[in-house]
Amino acid sequence: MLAHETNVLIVDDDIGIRFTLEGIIDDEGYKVRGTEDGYQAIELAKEITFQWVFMDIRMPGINGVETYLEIKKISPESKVVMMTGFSVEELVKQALDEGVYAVLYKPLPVEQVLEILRSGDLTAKLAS
Amino acid sequence: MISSFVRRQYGWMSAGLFRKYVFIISSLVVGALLISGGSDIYFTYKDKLNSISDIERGKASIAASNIDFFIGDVQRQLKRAAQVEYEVGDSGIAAREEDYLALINRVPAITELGYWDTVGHEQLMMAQFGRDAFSSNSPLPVEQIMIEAKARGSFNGPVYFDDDFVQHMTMGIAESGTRKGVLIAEVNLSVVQVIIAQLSLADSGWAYVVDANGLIVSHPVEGYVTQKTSVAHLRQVQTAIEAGTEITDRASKLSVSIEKSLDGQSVLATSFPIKNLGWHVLVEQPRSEALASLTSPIIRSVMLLVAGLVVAVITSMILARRMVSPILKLRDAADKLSLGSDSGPDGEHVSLKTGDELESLGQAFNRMSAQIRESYATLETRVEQRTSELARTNANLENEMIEREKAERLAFVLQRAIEHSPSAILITDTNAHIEYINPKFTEVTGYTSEDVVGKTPGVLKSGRTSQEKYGRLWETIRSGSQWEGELYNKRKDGKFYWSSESILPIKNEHGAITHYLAVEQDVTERKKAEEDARIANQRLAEMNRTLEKRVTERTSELQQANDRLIDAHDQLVRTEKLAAIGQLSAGVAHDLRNPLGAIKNAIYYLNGKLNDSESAKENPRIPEFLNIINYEVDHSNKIITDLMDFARIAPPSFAPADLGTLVQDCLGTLGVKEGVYINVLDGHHEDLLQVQVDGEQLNRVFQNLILNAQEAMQDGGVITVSTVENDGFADVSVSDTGEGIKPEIINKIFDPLFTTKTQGTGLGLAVCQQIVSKHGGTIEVESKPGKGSTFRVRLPLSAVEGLSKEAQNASA
Repeated sequence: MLAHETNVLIVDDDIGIRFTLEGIIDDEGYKVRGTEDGYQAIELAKEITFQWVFMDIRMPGINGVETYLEIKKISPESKVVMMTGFSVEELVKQALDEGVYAVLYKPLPVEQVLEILRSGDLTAKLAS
Repeated sequence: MISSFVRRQYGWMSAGLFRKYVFIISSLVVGALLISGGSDIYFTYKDKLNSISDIERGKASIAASNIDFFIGDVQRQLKRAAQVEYEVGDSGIAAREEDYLALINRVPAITELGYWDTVGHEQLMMAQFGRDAFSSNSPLPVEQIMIEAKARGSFNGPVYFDDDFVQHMTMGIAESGTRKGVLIAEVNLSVVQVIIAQLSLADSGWAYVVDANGLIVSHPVEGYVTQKTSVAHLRQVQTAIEAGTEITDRASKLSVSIEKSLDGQSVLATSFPIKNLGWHVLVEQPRSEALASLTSPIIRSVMLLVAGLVVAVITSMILARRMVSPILKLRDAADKLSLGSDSGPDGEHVSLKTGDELESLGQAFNRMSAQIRESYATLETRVEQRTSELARTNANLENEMIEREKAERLAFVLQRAIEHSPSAILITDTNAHIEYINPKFTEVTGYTSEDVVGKTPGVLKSGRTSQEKYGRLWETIRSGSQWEGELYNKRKDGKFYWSSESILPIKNEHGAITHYLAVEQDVTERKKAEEDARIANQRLAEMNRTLEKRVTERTSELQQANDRLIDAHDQLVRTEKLAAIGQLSAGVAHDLRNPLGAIKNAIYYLNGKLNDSESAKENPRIPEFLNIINYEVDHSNKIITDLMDFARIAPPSFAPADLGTLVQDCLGTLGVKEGVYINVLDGHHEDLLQVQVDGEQLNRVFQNLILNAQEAMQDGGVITVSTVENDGFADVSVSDTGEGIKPEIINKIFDPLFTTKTQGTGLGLAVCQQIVSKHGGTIEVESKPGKGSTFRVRLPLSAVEGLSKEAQNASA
C-alpha cells in the first residue's frame, strides 16, 4: 500500500496544531483530514476509514478517549495516537487502558510521529 | 439586888471548894483500895491457873507414859520374838509355834499372833483361845501390813473394834536376819481405855486420846470412841499434833491454854504425846471450876473498899470545913471593899485567928484595904480635872466632825462621780497594787474588785506591748508626770482590747506620791476600724500589683499570639500564593503547549523546506533564526514543565530510608561541573540516619540544592555535603564556597518565581521547601557574601513515630 493510500485523521481544537500537522503529514504523501472536535471526527470516520488518528485528549464537548471509543466501534482497525499537553493525566491512563496505539506529549516530536506513520505502513505492508 | 446576886455566886464557889476537897480525898482512898484488891485477885487467879496447869499436865504425862509403856512393852516382846533365828522347814515352824504360844500366854494384850514367810505365805497363826481362832477384824489387808512392816521394821495399824466391841490394833514386825518374814499381832487396847477412865474419874476434868489424825481413840464418853469422832478441828488438838511427839521445855510451858471443848465448853486444856504411837493424851478442865477459888479474895476486897470509903468521906469533910471558913470571911470583906459600901475610913477589917498562913493573909488584906481607901480619894480630884479637859476636847472634836462630815459628803459625791464615769478608772498604791476600780473598769475588762484589788495592773498585760513601753510609762509617772498613750490589753475572758490611757501620780500635801490613777477608754473599735482601713489599703495595693502583673502577662501573651498570628498569616499567604500558582500553572500549561506545539511543528516544516533552499544559502540567518526559535520554544516548554511540577507536588509516599544512602544515590546521578569538587562528610558512621521519607521527592531536593551550589560557583570550588544527627533530627547540609547570597534577598529565596538566574524559573528552592515541609522538616540557609552559603535540611528521625504516622495519615 502506498503512502498516499493511507488515511490519516488529525483531531485537535487548536487550529495551529491541526494545520501544521496536516501540512507535514500531507507533504509526506498521506491523505490527511482534520476536524476540530470529536463529533466531527466520528461523523468523518463513518465516511472514511482512517488507518491513523492523531487526537488531542482534551477537547471541548466530547473528549479524546470517548471519541476513540466511538471510532473503535465504527472502524476497529483504526490506530489512534493520543496527544496531550500534560505530563500526567487520568485520561491518559484511561486511554492506554482502552488500547490506544501511543500517547505523545506536546510539543510533539514530529520525527517520532513520522516514524510511527512509516512503521505503521510497514506493518500494514507486511500484513498485506 | 446586885450584892445579893454576887453573894449567891460566891456561896456557890465555897460550896464547890468544899465538895472538891471531899471528892479528891475519897477518890484517893478508893483508888488505893481498888488497886490493892485488883492485884490481889489477879495474882490469885494466876497462881490458881498455874497450879491447875501443873496438875493437868501431870495427869496427862502420867497417862501418856502409862500408855507408852504398855505399847512399848508389847512392841519389845514382839521384836524380841522376831529376832530369834529358826531353822527352815517343819522343825523351825514347830519351834516357832512353841515360842509364840508362850509369848501369847506371857503378854495377855496380844490376842492373836501370825507368821508370814519371806514370800508372803501364811506359815503360822494362833490366838489366845486356840491355834485356829484367828479372827482379825483389821481394816488393813495382810499384804499391806507386810509391806509397811518390811519397809520400817515395825508397823502399827489403825485402831478397830473386834466382834466383842473391844479396841484392837494390828502390829506388824519384820524379822531380822536373812529370812525376813513378818510377825503380825493383834493387840488388845482396853488398857488404854482403863487408864483414861481412871484419869477422868479422879477430878472434875476429863482426859481423852487422839491418834495422829485427830480421831478420838479413847474417851470417857464411849460414844465418841465407837463413832471414831474427829476432834482435829479443836485448837488444842491441832496444837498437840503440830508440836509432834518430842517433848520440849517450851512445849510444856505453853501447853495449858483456854480453849473450847468438843461440847463447846470453855476449858483449860493441855496435851501430852504418846511417843510409841504418835498419839496424844489431852486433859481438859472446865474453866468455871478452875476459877471457883477466886470468890473469897473478891469479897474481901469489896468489904475493904466500902470501909475505906466511909472513913475517907468523914475525914475530908472535917478538913475541908476548917480550910474554907477563913477564906469565906476574906471574900465577904473583899466584896464590901469593891462595892464601896459604908465602912470606916480605914477600909474593911478582917480578923482571922487561925494562927497559920491564913491569919497573915488576913492582916495583909487589912493593909491593902487601907491603902485602897487612900488612893481612892486622890483619884476623885484627878477625875474631875480630866473631865473638864475632856469636855473641851469634845467641843473641838465636834467641830472637826462637822468639817469631816462635809469632806465625807464631798468624797461621797466624788465617789459617785467616779463610779458613773464613762471612763474606766483604776487607782493603785505606790507599789502598783490596785486599791480601787470603778464599775466601768469592770465593764471594760471583766475584772471585778474581788478579782484585782491587791494585784497589779499586770493582770491586764496582753503580752503584745513591748517592755520598753511599760518602762517609759513607769519612768514618766514615777518622776511625777502624766503619761498618755495607748496600750493593748487583755480582758478577763482572754479577749484583747485597745485602751487609751491617761496615767498620773497622786501626791499628798508634802508632794510625795501616794497613789497612781489610771483613766482609760476602750478604743478597740477605733483601732479596729483603723486596722481594717489599713488592711483594705494593703489589699487594694496588692490587687493593683496583681492586676498590673496580669496586664503585663496578658500583654506579652497577646504579643506572642500576635506574633504567631503574623507567622501563620505569612504562612497562609505563602500557601495561598503557592496554590494560586499551581492552579494558574495547570490552567496555562495546556493552553501554552498547544501554541508551542504548533510553532514547533511549523519550524520543523520550515526547516525541511528552507534549509536547502536558495534563500537560505543566500541568507544564512534564516536557518540560524529558525534554530533560535526552536531553542526558545524548548526553553518555554521547560518553564511550563517546572511550573507544572511545582503545582502538582504530590503528598509524599513515606518509606524508611537511610539519609546517607539517599545523599549518595543523588550524588551518583548528578553530573559535576569542571572545577567543582564534592566533599561528603558522613558525621554518622556507625548508626544509620533512619528517616521516613519519599525518596524520589527528597532526591529532587538534594539535586536542586547541589545544582544551585554548582551554579553559585562559576569559577569552581568545593561543595561539602554532610549528614549528622542533631537533637532528634537528621541534618543534611549542602555548603558551597561560591559568591553567597546578598542579605537583602536572603528572605525571598524560597518564594516561588523568585530567581536570580537568567535561565531560572524561581521554583527550585520553593519546591525544595514544599517537599521538606511535607516531611515535617525544615530547610534553613546561612550565607556570607563572597564566602559561600549553607543550606541545611532538617528531617525528623523515624524514632519519632508520631510525626511519621501523621505524615502517613496525610499521605493517605
